[in-house]
Amino acid sequence: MKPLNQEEKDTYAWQTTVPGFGEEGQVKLKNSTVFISRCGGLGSVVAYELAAAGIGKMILAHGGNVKHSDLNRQLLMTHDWLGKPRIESVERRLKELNPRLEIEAVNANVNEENAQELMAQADLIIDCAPLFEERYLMNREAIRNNIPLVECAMFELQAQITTIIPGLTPCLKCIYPEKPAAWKRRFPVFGAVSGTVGCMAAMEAIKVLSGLGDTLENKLLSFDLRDMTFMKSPLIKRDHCPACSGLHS
Amino acid sequence: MLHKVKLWGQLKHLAGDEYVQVADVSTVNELILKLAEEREEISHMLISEGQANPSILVFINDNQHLWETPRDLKENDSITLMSPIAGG
Ligand SMILES: [Zn+2]
Repeated sequence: MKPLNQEEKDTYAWQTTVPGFGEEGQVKLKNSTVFISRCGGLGSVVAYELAAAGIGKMILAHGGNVKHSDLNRQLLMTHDWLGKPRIESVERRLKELNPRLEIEAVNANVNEENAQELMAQADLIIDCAPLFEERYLMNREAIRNNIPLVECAMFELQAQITTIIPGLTPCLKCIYPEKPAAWKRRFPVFGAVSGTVGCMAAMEAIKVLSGLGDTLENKLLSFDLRDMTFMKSPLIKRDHCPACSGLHS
Repeated sequence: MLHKVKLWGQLKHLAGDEYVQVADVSTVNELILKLAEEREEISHMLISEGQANPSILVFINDNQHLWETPRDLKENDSITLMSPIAGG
Protein backbone atom coordinates (compact mmCIF):
# COMPACT_ATOMS: atom_id res chain seq x y z
CA MET A 1 0.00 0.00 0.00
CA LYS A 2 1.21 3.50 -0.84
CA PRO A 3 2.12 5.41 2.36
CA LEU A 4 1.00 8.95 3.20
CA ASN A 5 3.18 11.84 2.06
CA GLN A 6 3.74 14.92 4.24
CA GLU A 7 0.99 16.94 2.58
CA GLU A 8 -1.48 14.13 3.26
CA LYS A 9 -0.35 13.80 6.87
CA ASP A 10 -0.98 17.54 7.31
CA THR A 11 -4.31 17.51 5.46
CA TYR A 12 -5.81 14.63 7.45
CA ALA A 13 -4.29 15.43 10.84
CA TRP A 14 -7.73 16.20 12.35
CA GLN A 15 -9.14 12.77 11.44
CA THR A 16 -6.10 10.53 11.91
CA THR A 17 -6.45 11.30 15.65
CA VAL A 18 -9.87 9.55 15.69
CA PRO A 19 -9.50 6.49 17.95
CA GLY A 20 -9.66 3.28 15.92
CA PHE A 21 -8.80 5.07 12.68
CA GLY A 22 -5.31 6.63 12.84
CA GLU A 23 -2.78 6.91 10.02
CA GLU A 24 -3.39 3.24 9.26
CA GLY A 25 -7.01 4.00 8.39
CA GLN A 26 -5.94 6.96 6.29
CA VAL A 27 -3.53 4.77 4.30
CA LYS A 28 -6.42 2.36 3.61
CA LEU A 29 -8.56 5.23 2.28
CA LYS A 30 -5.70 6.49 0.11
CA ASN A 31 -5.32 3.05 -1.46
CA SER A 32 -9.07 2.54 -2.05
CA THR A 33 -11.23 2.93 -5.14
CA VAL A 34 -14.89 3.81 -4.69
CA PHE A 35 -17.57 3.64 -7.36
CA ILE A 36 -20.48 6.09 -7.02
CA SER A 37 -23.57 6.41 -9.21
CA ARG A 38 -25.21 8.83 -9.67
CA CYS A 39 -23.73 12.10 -8.39
CA GLY A 40 -27.08 13.84 -7.82
CA GLY A 41 -28.51 15.05 -4.53
CA LEU A 42 -27.20 12.05 -2.66
CA GLY A 43 -24.11 11.08 -4.67
CA SER A 44 -22.77 14.66 -4.83
CA VAL A 45 -22.54 14.79 -1.07
CA VAL A 46 -21.11 11.27 -0.78
CA ALA A 47 -18.40 12.09 -3.34
CA TYR A 48 -17.59 15.46 -1.76
CA GLU A 49 -17.25 14.00 1.74
CA LEU A 50 -15.10 11.14 0.47
CA ALA A 51 -12.91 13.51 -1.55
CA ALA A 52 -12.44 15.52 1.64
CA ALA A 53 -11.68 12.37 3.64
CA GLY A 54 -8.86 11.38 1.29
CA ILE A 55 -10.16 8.45 -0.78
CA GLY A 56 -7.49 7.65 -3.39
CA LYS A 57 -9.63 7.01 -6.45
CA MET A 58 -13.26 7.45 -7.49
CA ILE A 59 -15.08 6.05 -10.48
CA LEU A 60 -18.11 8.28 -11.02
CA ALA A 61 -21.03 7.76 -13.38
CA HIS A 62 -23.63 10.43 -14.11
CA GLY A 63 -25.16 11.37 -17.46
CA GLY A 64 -26.84 14.54 -18.75
CA ASN A 65 -26.27 18.28 -18.56
CA VAL A 66 -26.74 20.61 -15.58
CA LYS A 67 -30.28 22.01 -15.32
CA HIS A 68 -31.76 24.67 -13.05
CA SER A 69 -33.79 21.99 -11.28
CA ASP A 70 -30.57 20.18 -10.22
CA LEU A 71 -29.38 23.10 -8.17
CA ASN A 72 -31.59 22.67 -5.09
CA ARG A 73 -29.66 19.55 -4.08
CA GLN A 74 -26.92 18.39 -6.48
CA LEU A 75 -24.17 20.24 -4.68
CA LEU A 76 -21.41 19.43 -7.17
CA MET A 77 -23.34 21.23 -9.94
CA THR A 78 -22.93 24.99 -10.26
CA HIS A 79 -24.91 27.79 -11.89
CA ASP A 80 -22.07 28.66 -14.25
CA TRP A 81 -22.14 25.08 -15.61
CA LEU A 82 -25.83 25.15 -16.72
CA GLY A 83 -26.27 23.31 -20.01
CA LYS A 84 -22.86 21.63 -19.75
CA PRO A 85 -22.16 18.02 -18.71
CA ARG A 86 -22.91 17.31 -15.06
CA ILE A 87 -20.00 14.92 -14.77
CA GLU A 88 -17.55 17.69 -15.77
CA SER A 89 -18.94 19.89 -13.02
CA VAL A 90 -18.58 16.99 -10.56
CA GLU A 91 -14.96 16.35 -11.51
CA ARG A 92 -14.03 20.06 -11.44
CA ARG A 93 -15.55 20.62 -7.99
CA LEU A 94 -13.96 17.53 -6.46
CA LYS A 95 -10.54 18.45 -7.87
CA GLU A 96 -10.85 21.97 -6.44
CA LEU A 97 -11.17 20.41 -3.01
CA ASN A 98 -8.69 17.58 -3.43
CA PRO A 99 -6.27 17.76 -6.40
CA ARG A 100 -4.62 14.50 -5.29
CA LEU A 101 -7.84 12.56 -5.94
CA GLU A 102 -7.75 10.32 -9.00
CA ILE A 103 -11.08 10.41 -10.86
CA GLU A 104 -12.48 8.27 -13.63
CA ALA A 105 -15.51 10.25 -14.74
CA VAL A 106 -18.10 8.65 -17.01
CA ASN A 107 -20.73 10.75 -18.75
CA ALA A 108 -23.47 8.11 -18.48
CA ASN A 109 -25.65 6.49 -15.88
CA VAL A 110 -25.20 2.84 -14.98
CA ASN A 111 -26.80 0.60 -17.59
CA GLU A 112 -26.77 -2.99 -18.75
CA GLU A 113 -23.86 -2.33 -21.14
CA ASN A 114 -21.45 -0.43 -18.89
CA ALA A 115 -22.20 -1.90 -15.43
CA GLN A 116 -19.70 -4.73 -15.38
CA GLU A 117 -16.74 -2.70 -16.65
CA LEU A 118 -17.44 0.30 -14.41
CA MET A 119 -17.55 -1.60 -11.14
CA ALA A 120 -15.11 -4.50 -11.56
CA GLN A 121 -12.14 -2.50 -10.21
CA ALA A 122 -13.89 -0.91 -7.22
CA ASP A 123 -13.25 -1.76 -3.57
CA LEU A 124 -16.68 -0.37 -2.65
CA ILE A 125 -19.85 0.63 -4.48
CA ILE A 126 -22.16 3.38 -3.27
CA ASP A 127 -25.63 3.23 -4.75
CA CYS A 128 -27.11 6.72 -5.11
CA ALA A 129 -29.35 6.08 -8.15
CA PRO A 130 -32.95 7.26 -8.41
CA LEU A 131 -34.25 4.14 -10.20
CA PHE A 132 -34.58 0.55 -9.05
CA GLU A 133 -33.29 -0.66 -12.45
CA GLU A 134 -29.92 1.02 -11.80
CA ARG A 135 -29.90 -0.08 -8.16
CA TYR A 136 -30.40 -3.72 -9.15
CA LEU A 137 -27.46 -3.46 -11.60
CA MET A 138 -25.17 -2.20 -8.82
CA ASN A 139 -26.44 -4.99 -6.56
CA ARG A 140 -25.70 -7.54 -9.30
CA GLU A 141 -22.15 -6.26 -9.86
CA ALA A 142 -21.47 -6.08 -6.12
CA ILE A 143 -22.43 -9.77 -5.85
CA ARG A 144 -20.59 -10.82 -9.02
CA ASN A 145 -17.33 -9.19 -7.88
CA ASN A 146 -17.80 -9.66 -4.14
CA ILE A 147 -17.66 -5.91 -3.46
CA PRO A 148 -19.37 -4.28 -0.46
CA LEU A 149 -22.27 -2.02 -1.39
CA VAL A 150 -23.57 0.94 0.59
CA GLU A 151 -27.22 1.20 -0.36
CA CYS A 152 -28.90 4.51 0.38
CA ALA A 153 -32.14 6.10 -0.77
CA MET A 154 -34.45 8.96 0.05
CA PHE A 155 -37.94 10.28 -0.65
CA GLU A 156 -39.30 13.64 0.44
CA LEU A 157 -38.08 14.00 4.07
CA GLN A 158 -37.45 10.30 4.55
CA ALA A 159 -34.34 8.19 3.93
CA GLN A 160 -32.94 4.67 4.31
CA ILE A 161 -29.46 3.23 4.38
CA THR A 162 -27.92 -0.22 4.79
CA THR A 163 -24.57 -1.86 4.03
CA ILE A 164 -24.51 -5.00 1.92
CA ILE A 165 -21.65 -7.52 2.15
CA PRO A 166 -22.30 -10.10 -0.59
CA GLY A 167 -22.84 -13.57 0.84
CA LEU A 168 -23.00 -12.32 4.42
CA THR A 169 -25.86 -9.85 4.56
CA PRO A 170 -29.16 -9.45 2.73
CA CYS A 171 -28.72 -7.89 -0.72
CA LEU A 172 -31.03 -5.37 -2.37
CA LYS A 173 -33.05 -8.21 -3.95
CA CYS A 174 -33.46 -9.77 -0.52
CA ILE A 175 -34.98 -6.47 0.64
CA TYR A 176 -37.01 -5.76 -2.51
CA PRO A 177 -37.29 -9.00 -4.54
CA GLU A 178 -39.25 -7.25 -7.28
CA LYS A 179 -39.07 -3.75 -8.64
CA PRO A 180 -41.66 -1.71 -6.70
CA ALA A 181 -44.26 -0.87 -9.31
CA ALA A 182 -45.30 2.49 -7.92
CA TRP A 183 -41.83 4.06 -7.88
CA LYS A 184 -41.41 7.08 -10.21
CA ARG A 185 -38.15 8.70 -11.35
CA ARG A 186 -39.23 12.15 -10.18
CA PHE A 187 -39.59 12.42 -6.42
CA PRO A 188 -39.98 15.30 -3.95
CA VAL A 189 -36.64 16.19 -2.38
CA PHE A 190 -34.88 18.74 -0.22
CA GLY A 191 -31.11 18.89 -0.61
CA ALA A 192 -30.76 18.81 3.17
CA VAL A 193 -32.40 15.35 3.25
CA SER A 194 -30.33 13.79 0.43
CA GLY A 195 -27.30 15.50 1.99
CA THR A 196 -28.00 13.98 5.40
CA VAL A 197 -28.13 10.42 4.10
CA GLY A 198 -25.20 11.23 1.77
CA CYS A 199 -23.03 12.09 4.77
CA MET A 200 -24.12 8.86 6.47
CA ALA A 201 -23.24 6.86 3.35
CA ALA A 202 -19.81 8.49 3.22
CA MET A 203 -19.26 7.55 6.86
CA GLU A 204 -20.34 3.97 6.16
CA ALA A 205 -17.83 3.90 3.28
CA ILE A 206 -15.03 5.17 5.51
CA LYS A 207 -15.91 2.52 8.11
CA VAL A 208 -16.14 -0.37 5.63
CA LEU A 209 -12.81 0.57 4.00
CA SER A 210 -10.87 1.29 7.20
CA GLY A 211 -12.47 -1.17 9.63
CA LEU A 212 -13.56 1.61 11.97
CA GLY A 213 -16.67 1.21 14.16
CA ASP A 214 -19.79 -0.85 13.39
CA THR A 215 -21.46 -0.68 10.01
CA LEU A 216 -25.13 -1.12 9.05
CA GLU A 217 -24.62 -4.74 7.97
CA ASN A 218 -27.90 -6.67 8.35
CA LYS A 219 -29.62 -3.50 9.53
CA LEU A 220 -31.75 -0.90 7.83
CA LEU A 221 -31.51 2.59 9.27
CA SER A 222 -34.61 4.59 8.39
CA PHE A 223 -35.24 8.16 9.33
CA ASP A 224 -37.86 10.76 8.79
CA LEU A 225 -36.75 14.38 9.10
CA ARG A 226 -40.38 15.60 9.08
CA ASP A 227 -40.55 14.64 12.75
CA MET A 228 -36.91 13.63 13.37
CA THR A 229 -37.66 9.97 14.05
CA PHE A 230 -34.92 7.37 13.52
CA MET A 231 -35.39 3.59 13.47
CA LYS A 232 -32.93 0.73 13.03
CA SER A 233 -34.51 -2.55 11.86
CA PRO A 234 -32.86 -5.95 11.41
CA LEU A 235 -32.93 -7.36 7.87
CA ILE A 236 -33.07 -11.02 6.85
CA LYS A 237 -31.14 -12.67 4.03
CA ARG A 238 -33.60 -14.65 1.88
CA ASP A 239 -32.79 -18.33 1.40
CA HIS A 240 -34.11 -18.25 -2.13
CA CYS A 241 -32.95 -14.79 -3.17
CA PRO A 242 -32.66 -14.72 -6.99
CA ALA A 243 -29.51 -12.58 -6.74
CA CYS A 244 -27.43 -13.79 -3.80
CA SER A 245 -28.69 -17.18 -2.60
CA GLY A 246 -25.81 -19.18 -4.12
CA LEU A 247 -23.16 -17.19 -2.26
CA HIS A 248 -21.28 -18.27 0.83
CA SER A 249 -18.97 -16.18 2.93
CA MET B 1 -58.36 -9.66 18.01
CA LEU B 2 -57.22 -6.07 17.51
CA HIS B 3 -53.75 -5.39 16.05
CA LYS B 4 -51.89 -2.15 16.48
CA VAL B 5 -49.88 -1.27 13.38
CA LYS B 6 -47.14 1.35 13.18
CA LEU B 7 -46.89 3.15 9.85
CA TRP B 8 -43.55 4.52 8.75
CA GLY B 9 -42.68 7.46 6.49
CA GLN B 10 -45.00 8.05 3.54
CA LEU B 11 -47.61 5.61 4.85
CA LYS B 12 -47.80 7.54 8.12
CA HIS B 13 -48.01 10.95 6.48
CA LEU B 14 -50.64 9.91 3.93
CA ALA B 15 -52.74 8.13 6.56
CA GLY B 16 -52.34 11.03 8.98
CA ASP B 17 -51.71 8.59 11.84
CA GLU B 18 -48.59 6.93 13.18
CA TYR B 19 -50.62 4.02 14.58
CA VAL B 20 -53.70 2.39 13.11
CA GLN B 21 -55.73 -0.53 14.37
CA VAL B 22 -56.88 -3.51 12.36
CA ALA B 23 -59.36 -6.02 13.75
CA ASP B 24 -60.12 -9.66 13.01
CA VAL B 25 -57.24 -10.66 10.78
CA SER B 26 -54.93 -13.58 11.38
CA THR B 27 -52.06 -13.10 8.90
CA VAL B 28 -49.93 -10.21 7.60
CA ASN B 29 -51.50 -10.65 4.18
CA GLU B 30 -55.03 -10.30 5.57
CA LEU B 31 -53.93 -7.36 7.67
CA ILE B 32 -52.61 -5.46 4.65
CA LEU B 33 -55.68 -6.19 2.54
CA LYS B 34 -58.00 -5.08 5.33
CA LEU B 35 -55.98 -1.96 6.07
CA ALA B 36 -56.07 -1.04 2.37
CA GLU B 37 -59.85 -1.43 2.44
CA GLU B 38 -60.25 0.72 5.55
CA ARG B 39 -57.71 3.42 4.70
CA GLU B 40 -58.27 4.51 1.12
CA GLU B 41 -55.51 7.16 1.33
CA ILE B 42 -52.79 4.48 1.52
CA SER B 43 -54.44 1.66 -0.39
CA HIS B 44 -52.48 2.43 -3.60
CA MET B 45 -49.25 1.83 -1.68
CA LEU B 46 -50.43 -1.32 0.08
CA ILE B 47 -51.92 -3.07 -2.93
CA SER B 48 -50.23 -4.07 -6.17
CA GLU B 49 -52.15 -5.92 -8.88
CA GLY B 50 -54.92 -6.77 -6.45
CA GLN B 51 -52.55 -8.37 -3.92
CA ALA B 52 -50.69 -7.16 -0.85
CA ASN B 53 -47.71 -5.26 -2.31
CA PRO B 54 -44.63 -7.47 -1.79
CA SER B 55 -42.39 -4.38 -1.76
CA ILE B 56 -43.85 -3.19 1.55
CA LEU B 57 -41.32 -3.94 4.28
CA VAL B 58 -42.96 -5.57 7.28
CA PHE B 59 -41.42 -5.86 10.72
CA ILE B 60 -43.00 -7.90 13.51
CA ASN B 61 -41.59 -7.47 17.01
CA ASP B 62 -38.38 -5.99 15.57
CA ASN B 63 -37.92 -8.91 13.15
CA GLN B 64 -38.33 -8.62 9.41
CA HIS B 65 -41.27 -10.59 8.10
CA LEU B 66 -40.72 -12.33 4.75
CA TRP B 67 -43.69 -12.89 2.46
CA GLU B 68 -42.57 -16.41 1.59
CA THR B 69 -42.76 -17.48 5.24
CA PRO B 70 -46.32 -16.60 6.32
CA ARG B 71 -46.90 -16.38 10.01
CA ASP B 72 -50.03 -16.13 12.13
CA LEU B 73 -50.35 -12.90 14.03
CA LYS B 74 -50.41 -13.05 17.80
CA GLU B 75 -52.26 -10.88 20.30
CA ASN B 76 -49.50 -8.44 21.22
CA ASP B 77 -47.40 -8.48 18.07
CA SER B 78 -45.91 -5.12 17.30
CA ILE B 79 -46.21 -4.59 13.54
CA THR B 80 -44.49 -1.93 11.42
CA LEU B 81 -45.12 -1.25 7.73
CA MET B 82 -42.71 0.68 5.51
CA SER B 83 -43.02 1.60 1.83
CA PRO B 84 -40.06 1.30 -0.59
CA ILE B 85 -38.05 4.36 -1.59
CA ALA B 86 -35.25 4.84 -4.16
CA GLY B 87 -34.59 8.57 -4.56
CA GLY B 88 -30.99 9.54 -5.13
ZN1 LIG C 1 -30.14 -11.39 -1.87
